[in-house]
Amino acid sequence: VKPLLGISMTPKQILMIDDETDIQTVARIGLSLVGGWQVLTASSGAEGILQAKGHRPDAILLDVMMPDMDGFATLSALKADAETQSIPIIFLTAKAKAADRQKMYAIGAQGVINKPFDPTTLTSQIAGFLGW
Amino acid sequence: MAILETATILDTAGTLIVVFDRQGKIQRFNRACETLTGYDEAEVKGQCAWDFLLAPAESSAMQVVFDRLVNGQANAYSQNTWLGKDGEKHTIAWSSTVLTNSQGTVDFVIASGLDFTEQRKNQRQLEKQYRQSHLLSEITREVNRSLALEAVLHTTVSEVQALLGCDRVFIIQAPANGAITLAAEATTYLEPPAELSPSSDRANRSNFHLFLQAAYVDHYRPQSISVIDMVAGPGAAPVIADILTSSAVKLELVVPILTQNQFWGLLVAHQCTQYRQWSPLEIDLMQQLAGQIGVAIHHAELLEHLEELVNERTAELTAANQQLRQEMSERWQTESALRRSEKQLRLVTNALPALVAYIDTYHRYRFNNYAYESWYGIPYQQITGRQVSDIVEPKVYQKMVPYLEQALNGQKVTYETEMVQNGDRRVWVSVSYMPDIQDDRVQGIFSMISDISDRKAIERLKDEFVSIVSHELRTPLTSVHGSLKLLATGQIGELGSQGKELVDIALDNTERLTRLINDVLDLERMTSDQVSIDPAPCLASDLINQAIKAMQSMAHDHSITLAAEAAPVMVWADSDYIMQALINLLSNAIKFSPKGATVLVKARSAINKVEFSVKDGGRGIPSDKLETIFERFQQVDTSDARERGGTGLGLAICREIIQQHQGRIWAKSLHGHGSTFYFTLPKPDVDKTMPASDAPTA
Repeated sequence: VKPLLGISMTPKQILMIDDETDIQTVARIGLSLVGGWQVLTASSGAEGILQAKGHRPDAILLDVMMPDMDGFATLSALKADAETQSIPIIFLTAKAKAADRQKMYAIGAQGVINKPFDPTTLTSQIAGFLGW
Repeated sequence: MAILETATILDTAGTLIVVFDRQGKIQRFNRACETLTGYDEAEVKGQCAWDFLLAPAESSAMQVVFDRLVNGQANAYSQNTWLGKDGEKHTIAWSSTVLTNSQGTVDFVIASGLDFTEQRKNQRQLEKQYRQSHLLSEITREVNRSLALEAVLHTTVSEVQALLGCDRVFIIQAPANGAITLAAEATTYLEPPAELSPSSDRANRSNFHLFLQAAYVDHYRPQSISVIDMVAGPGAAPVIADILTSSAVKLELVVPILTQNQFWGLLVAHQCTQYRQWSPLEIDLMQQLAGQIGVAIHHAELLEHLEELVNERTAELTAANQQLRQEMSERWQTESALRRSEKQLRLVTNALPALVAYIDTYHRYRFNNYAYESWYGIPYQQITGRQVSDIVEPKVYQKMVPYLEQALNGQKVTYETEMVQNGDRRVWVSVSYMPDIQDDRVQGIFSMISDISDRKAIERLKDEFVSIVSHELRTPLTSVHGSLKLLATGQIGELGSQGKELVDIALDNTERLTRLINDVLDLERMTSDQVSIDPAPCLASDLINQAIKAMQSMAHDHSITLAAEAAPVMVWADSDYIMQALINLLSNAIKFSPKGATVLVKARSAINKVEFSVKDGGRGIPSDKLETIFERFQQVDTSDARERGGTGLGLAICREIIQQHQGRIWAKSLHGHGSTFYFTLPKPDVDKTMPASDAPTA
């Protein structure tokens, strides 16, 4: 995959967990177009965990507000599992409050990206958080 | 008979000795008898004593006594009265002895007697004296016992009249400057009707009025005691003689009555029907009585004076009593009005669904309504008088105290807090304290606590709604915005110029909508107390530098220079929020300043606080809008939101943030010379790591 904006970076595999398929699509297009990254998608926390265990992505973009199993529960499950605990997780959230942000870092998030996000800069934001 | 011959012996005896035969005929009548009766023995010999010697009333009785004596049946002692030849009475006590013959029959009766007429007289005199002194003491006692003068005077005249056996006794009162009046009278004398008798009045019924003349009274005024004898005469002054003659008075005794050595009147006794001279004792008695009457009058006058005093005092007391009654009645009316008013107040307050109370300066309930009963489960009457700390739970009281104190310092206070109802249910309440200020002093506070749990529930629902709506709006916006962004940057492929213009418009408005949603959400969170700021000591210059760094690219886009002048001072702030406020202010300053201008951000130290300022080079703000711009959607120009991309909520959010930090925000502007926005933040309290601020805000 050729990076369109000329950002030279090792292609990464990202797992996007979000119950909104439209948002999955926008993120997927942005990441693949800008960074040339491969994007896996999951519509729930449970599905995301299965995907993570199956594919061991380079990073996970995790939505906070999801039905059934929210972002916090999903993160706990991933961190509790030896197979997935080392995969860096970045929260995608509409919750912009400082206290929430601190809580997210406290439980092991590597980064927090506010919604609505800019798909054209999403690659560089993730790279920034993870030191790629 | 030897006894009859012993004339010499009989005659020499001092006692009366009479010898009767058994028929009662006098056989011997000794010298003593002759001397006493005036009869010769020769005259009486052979006569019966009861035929001439004895008082007629006694003769038949004595005859019976003598017969029984002869028959040996009667007592040897007896008493009778002999009438002398001159008619004089002699009281004699007899002792009789009978002489019997050889047949045992009585031949003679020998009676020896003692004339005790004088002793009887003396005894009567003594008795009279005794009665007089008894009367005097009675009257004296009456005078001392009874303070009713009239009764004393009447007692005196009637007693004296009875005792002296005179026809008339009366008392005349003759005051120094007043009419002469008859004070009391006792009479058994029916005087002849007067020639001139104009009325039935006692004084005018006869010539009695003559005694009530000044001439009569004045005659006796200077005297001590006078006895006028019209029969034996002479000696009566002509004026008195005339009066006594025309009144048919034979004897007159007059004693002036003095009281406290002042002439008061006269005590007068008259003999009209009989002529009997008064003994010195009787005269003396009259004099003493007059003295006692004087004392009685003095007593009566004292009493009268006393009565006057008593009346005066009674009148005073009555007036005082009346006044007291009046005052009591007024007080009662006031109190009953107060009670009515309190009752009404109680009715009104009891009907209120709020806790209403009056709390005094010692944190004691002075009044509370019925709601307290349902709230605390204690009869509401039992709450009045108790300490607030006895009623509300300790944690709540602890929170109340600073507000109570603030109200007791004269400030009106309103705050919201959670309280415990019925020991278990936590309820949100709004508490208002209104100081009761009288004579420049706070007497207590009116407290009103309303249950705002419904409002809180609605607020919670609203917050949830806002949160959900914002999430639901943001989710589609995220897709729309992301898609447009990808289109606009040509990642998918190049668009035609019109297509690109349209995508840019869509993208701008999506971003504006996103900002608006974010701002609405922020503001709602802050005003509904959902946000709790988490302040910590920060360096003012750090906050400014971070904000400038965040806004650098925007400033660059607008060709604006950002400059900072920050004193090395610490503030007590939640850096995230203060950054948001500074960014909002910087964003406005950049947007409204002309190209090439400089926006200056400063921080300077003041007492207990730090003052921040953001100065722009914009068009300025009209003075009438300097306040309103901090309200929601109150921009200076309504087109600003569209043209400058603002939401109209930025300054409202700034104000919320600063107020949450117990600071103040304001703006100054000279039209055409730019605007400066100021806000203050507290300095951290080094010891307590608390804001160096005052008591809670009202």
